Amino acid sequence: MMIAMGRYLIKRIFISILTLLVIVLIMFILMNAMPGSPFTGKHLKADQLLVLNQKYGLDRPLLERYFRYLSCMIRGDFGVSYNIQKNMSITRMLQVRLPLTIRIGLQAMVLGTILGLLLGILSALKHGTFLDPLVSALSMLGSSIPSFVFALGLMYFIAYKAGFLPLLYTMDAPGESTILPSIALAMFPMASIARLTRSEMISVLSSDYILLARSKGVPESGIIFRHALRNALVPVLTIMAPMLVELITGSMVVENIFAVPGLGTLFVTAVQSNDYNVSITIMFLYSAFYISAMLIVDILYGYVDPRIRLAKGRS
Amino acid sequence: MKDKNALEIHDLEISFETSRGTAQIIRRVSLEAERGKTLAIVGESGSGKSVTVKSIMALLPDQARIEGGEIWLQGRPGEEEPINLTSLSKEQVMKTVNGRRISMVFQDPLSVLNPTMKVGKQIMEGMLLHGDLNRKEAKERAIHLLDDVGIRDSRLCMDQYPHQLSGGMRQRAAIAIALSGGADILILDEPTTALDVTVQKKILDLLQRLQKEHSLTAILITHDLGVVAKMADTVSVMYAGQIVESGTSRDIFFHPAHPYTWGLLSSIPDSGTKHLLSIPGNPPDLSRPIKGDAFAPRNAYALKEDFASEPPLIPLSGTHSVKSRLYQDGKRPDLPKELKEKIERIQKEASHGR
Repeated sequence: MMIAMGRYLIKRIFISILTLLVIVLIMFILMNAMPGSPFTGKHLKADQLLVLNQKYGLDRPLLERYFRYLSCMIRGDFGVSYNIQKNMSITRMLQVRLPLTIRIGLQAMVLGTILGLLLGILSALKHGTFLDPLVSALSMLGSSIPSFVFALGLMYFIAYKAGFLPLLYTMDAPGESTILPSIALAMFPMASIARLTRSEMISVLSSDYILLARSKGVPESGIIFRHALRNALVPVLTIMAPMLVELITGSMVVENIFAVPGLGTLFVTAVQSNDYNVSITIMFLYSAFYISAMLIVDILYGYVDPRIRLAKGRS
Repeated sequence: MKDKNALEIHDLEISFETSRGTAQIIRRVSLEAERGKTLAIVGESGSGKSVTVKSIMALLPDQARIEGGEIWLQGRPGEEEPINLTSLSKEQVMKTVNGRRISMVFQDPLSVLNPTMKVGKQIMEGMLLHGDLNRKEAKERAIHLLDDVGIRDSRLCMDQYPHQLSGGMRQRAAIAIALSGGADILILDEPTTALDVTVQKKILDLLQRLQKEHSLTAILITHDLGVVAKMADTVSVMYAGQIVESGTSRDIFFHPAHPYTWGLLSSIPDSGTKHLLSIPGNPPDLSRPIKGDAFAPRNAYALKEDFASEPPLIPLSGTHSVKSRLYQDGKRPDLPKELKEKIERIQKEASHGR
C-alpha cells in the first residue's frame, strides 16, 4: 500500500508541474495580448523604447521568451521588475511580501477551520435549542457577505471606533496588523465549515454505528471524538480546496483595503502597470499554493477515510 | 423480581413526540426473560418491538419518553441486587449497563460498524471501557473472540476496516463486539434479516453455540417465525405496542390462541400450503388515541365489545396467556381449519425430522 501511495504521489507531482508550466504559458500569452507595455513614460521616444525592449529581451518572439524564462525559473531566477521597483530582482521583492501573505492566509485558514468546526459540532449537539438556529444564521451571513464588507466593518468598529488594532498595515506593529485582515478572510471558511460540519455531524450521530457505540457503553465524549467527528470530517475536507481559492482571491481585495504590502497588493499593481515578470511570478506562486494544497487535502482525505485510501492503492 | 429471570419489564409505557402530536408507541408492555433462555418478541414492523428493547439500553431518540413502568435487571449471581433501569439516568445506564451487562446485535451489519475504525479497535473499545485489561491483553482477547465467532484469519481481521469484510463476516465481527464487554444479556434485533439465506443459518447456529458456552440470556426480535422456531424458548407476540399473546415456543406454535397469532402462522409458507393467507388491512396509526382493541378492525373474530374497550389478559395455563375476549369464562374456541391442518402437518414433519 505504501508503494502504491508513493507511485500515486509521483504521478500527482508530475501532473502538478505540467499544470504549472501551462499556467505560466497562459500568463505569457495573456500579458502579451494586453494593450500597452511596461514602459509608458510620455518622454520616451521610439528609439529609446526600442533600446529598452532590446535590453529586457522583449523584442524576441513569445515562445523564445517563454522558454528562456522557464530555464531561468528552474535556477530560481524569476527575473527583475520593469517599472514597480525598477531592475529590482523579483526574488528580493517577494522576500518581505510572500511571508506576510502566507502568514495572513494561514492565520485565516486556521482560525476559520477551528471556529467553524467548533461552531458546527456545538450546533449539531445542541440541535433543537436556541444555539442551533443562531449558528445557522451566523454561517449564512458568513458565507453570503463578501470578505471586503467584513474588512470594512472590522476597520470601522474595531480599529477606528474601539481603537484596538491598527487601522492600516504599519511596520511598527507588523504582527498586530495581520490580525484584522486574517479575521476578515476567516469569515468565509468559518461559515462554510460550520454549516457542513453541523449537517454532517447530525447525520452521522443518527447512524447505526453510533447506536452500536452507545450500546457498548461508550461515553458521550468518546461518541463525539472517537466515532462521530472523523466520519463527519470526510465531506468537510472536500470543501477545503475550493475554499483556498476563495482565500486567494479574497486576499487580493482584503490586502488592498488594509494596505498590507503582500502578494495581493503587488499583483494588482503589477497587472495594472504591465510589469510582466512580477505578474507571472505571483500567478505562478498562487497556482503552486493551490495545487499543493489540493495535494495535501487529497492525502489527508485518504488518511481520514480508509475506503478512499484503498481504492486509490488499487488503481 | 423472580430469581430465575434475567430481565423483567412491567407495564412499560413509551410515547413519542411527533409532528402530529404525541404517539403512544408502547402501551403497558410486560415481559420476562428467563436466565440462559431465549425470549423472542414477534410482530409486524411498527409494532414496537425495537422500541421496547432500545428502551432497556437507553438508546431511544430524544423525542421518546418513558411514561411509566419498570425495567428490572437481575444482579449478577451472588453479587448485586436487581436494579430498576428506569430509575437510572441515561449516563448511568451507558456506564454501568450497556456493554457490561447487556449488549446488542443489530440488523444491518453493513451500516453498524464504524467505517473509519479498524475492526480490532472496535472490539477492544468495549473491553477497555468495562474490564481492567491493558491494551495487550485486550488485543489477545479480541483475537480470541474473533476466533470464537468463526473468523478464520483473526489477526488479519483485527487490522482490517469493515468495508474489507463480507456481510456475514461483519455480522460475526458485530457479534464479537457485543460479547466484548462481558455482557450476560444479548439483545438480537433482527440479527439475520439483512443477510443472505445461506449465511443466516450459520449466524443462528453461531449465536446458539455462543449462548450455550457463555450462558447468555437472549432477547430476540424478529418477524421471521422460522427464526423463532429455531431459537426461542418463550415467545411474546406484539401488536400495536401491546403484548397480545405470550407463552412457550410450544404454546405459540402448536396451540396459538390469539387471532393475530393465527394470522401470523397462516402467513408462513410450508410444503402443503395451497394459498397463502395474509392479515387484511394495516396496523393502526398510533398517533391517534386507540379505542378498544387495536386489532379489532382487522380481526374477523372480533366481538362487539372489542370495538368499545380493550380485552383483558386471560391466562390459559401457567405459561400461556392471551389478550382476547374469545377465551372469557373458560371458553376455548377451535383453531381455523386450515391452520389446524397446517400445524398438524408441521408437527408430523418435525417428529419425522427427529
